[in-house]
Amino acid sequence: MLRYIARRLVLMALVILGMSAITFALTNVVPGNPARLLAGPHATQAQVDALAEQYKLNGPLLERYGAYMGGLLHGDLGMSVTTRRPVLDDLREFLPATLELTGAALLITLVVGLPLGIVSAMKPGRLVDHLSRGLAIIGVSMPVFWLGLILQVVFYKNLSLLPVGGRLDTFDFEPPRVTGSYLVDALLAGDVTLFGSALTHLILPAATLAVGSLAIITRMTRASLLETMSADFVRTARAKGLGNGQVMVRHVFRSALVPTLTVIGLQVGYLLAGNFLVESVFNWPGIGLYAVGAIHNLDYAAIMGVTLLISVIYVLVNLIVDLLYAALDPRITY
Amino acid sequence: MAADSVALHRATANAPGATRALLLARLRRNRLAFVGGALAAALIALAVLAPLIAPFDPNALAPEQRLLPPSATHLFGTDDGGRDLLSRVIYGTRLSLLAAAVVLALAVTIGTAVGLVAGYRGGFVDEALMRLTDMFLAFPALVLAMGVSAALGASLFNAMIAIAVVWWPWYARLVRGQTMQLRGEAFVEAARASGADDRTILLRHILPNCSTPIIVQMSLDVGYAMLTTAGLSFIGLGAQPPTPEWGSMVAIGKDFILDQWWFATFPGLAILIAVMIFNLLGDGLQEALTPGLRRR
Repeated sequence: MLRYIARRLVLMALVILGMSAITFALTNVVPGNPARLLAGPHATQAQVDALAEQYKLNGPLLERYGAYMGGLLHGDLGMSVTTRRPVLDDLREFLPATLELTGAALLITLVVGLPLGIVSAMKPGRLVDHLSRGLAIIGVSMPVFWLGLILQVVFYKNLSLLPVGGRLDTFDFEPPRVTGSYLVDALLAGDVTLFGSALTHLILPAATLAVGSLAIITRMTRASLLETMSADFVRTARAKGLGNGQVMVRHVFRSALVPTLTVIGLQVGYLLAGNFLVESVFNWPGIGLYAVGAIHNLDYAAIMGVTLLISVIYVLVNLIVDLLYAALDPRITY
Repeated sequence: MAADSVALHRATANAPGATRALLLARLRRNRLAFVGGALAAALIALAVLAPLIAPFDPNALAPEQRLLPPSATHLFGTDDGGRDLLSRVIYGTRLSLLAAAVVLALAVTIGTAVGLVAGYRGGFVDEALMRLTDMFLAFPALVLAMGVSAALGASLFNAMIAIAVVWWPWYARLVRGQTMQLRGEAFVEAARASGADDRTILLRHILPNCSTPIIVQMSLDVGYAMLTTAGLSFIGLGAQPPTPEWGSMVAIGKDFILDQWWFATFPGLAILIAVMIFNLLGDGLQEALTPGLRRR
């Protein structure tokens, strides 16, 4: 088990090294001139050169890559030309908002998707099943950025139920920062009103982000359960006289969860990517919004930083999923 | 039904030509594929005939008719330049379909070439190519596509290239698996014995036998390709305004959403419907053509 984890971590380092090389090469063959963009249209050539020097935008590609990777080993991700701060500080500031949003979306996905999939599998071909199939087809076809706008119109403008965007109301003060998640920090500070405000701001973006994954999880759970329910070992369990509840809980769910788990791992990737769109719609100050700003400003260091961070999270999540297999399925050992 | 699918599976693995009639029969029996196919054909017709169907010039500015709500003259209302939204949505069909077609054509070409070579050669070549594809797959596609299209510069064409760059590994994997299975088949041995070179074997004997799974995968991917293109346009990396592209129209309409709801609503609805049509078609084709083969 430990050897397996070690091997996976080494592989992960290689994948990330390769990814960083590809992204670095790509973001550095850009036709635009970021130093010029940063200095503004009225800057002199000398000012542009000075900025290029300051943000390490000159020199041969390989040399710059070497310098970047050298810095990375010391936790230095370079300077962002957008915020004029170290990229690492930016990521530290914006990541908690993204994690809070992604976590909430994942929670919605699981709390709604798993039961819906289970009910559909129990009553295949019935109304619930057809409804969940219809929802699933709409869910996977949904442009999330558009859904976000529609929800804003319905729940903010027409029903006045939920706020239109941001993490808190204009007059709210941020809770003292402990975890970076406003929900958790507000609770730690014992501020129930603030918690409520943070929660109402989280609902719409999280629901928007969750829709695509929700659809996939529902269908996957259904398919996986149906397949397991017709397996020989389930028939054996019934034949030896176990009640329906016991068969489902002890035999079916446990085995059917394994393929669903893979899909959940993959969904974390989709959710992270979806943040780029959803955060833009809801003005949610996470790394997605930060990255979109960076893209418009040709902010290489920031784009690289976000890309690397997301790939690390994604690879780690999938490692955890693979480890959970072993816990769920006794046939799998590492 | 089951025996039928087994027979079909064997038949498609060996001689695609002889089973075409059987495939068509199965397709006709599959309601999902049939409805999806008909709707997709209608969408393509809409794109081709856009100039005949659209009531107005999609790019004609009319500042005095700015942001009009839906009415009998302008069924979908007008945008911030007074342009007719219905006409723009109809023209948008062209770009959306074109983008999906270009993305898939590029991705399939690269992926198939890599997959054929990796699966046929095996050994070091296979190992190297597969580690490369793993690298791409170990990464959320949209994020990488954003990085690539940001690097290439914001335009619809660059967005298509960027998406193809992150999409080919799926096809490489698919084709590699098929090729490895087919490599040892008797008809490949026979071709080799009769003196065919590697190129002929790959292109004449192996590739045609990979075509069914490739087509099914493509039909499943059309919708995703459209969604991804629209997403890139939405954050400003794809089509640039005033191009009548759905994602870009939603992006501009976003600033007006609370007061002029129609501006972003109709282009977005068009995306949803178009993607849904192709997802229906893809699901139907998958059910009809490849029983037992599922990726998602």
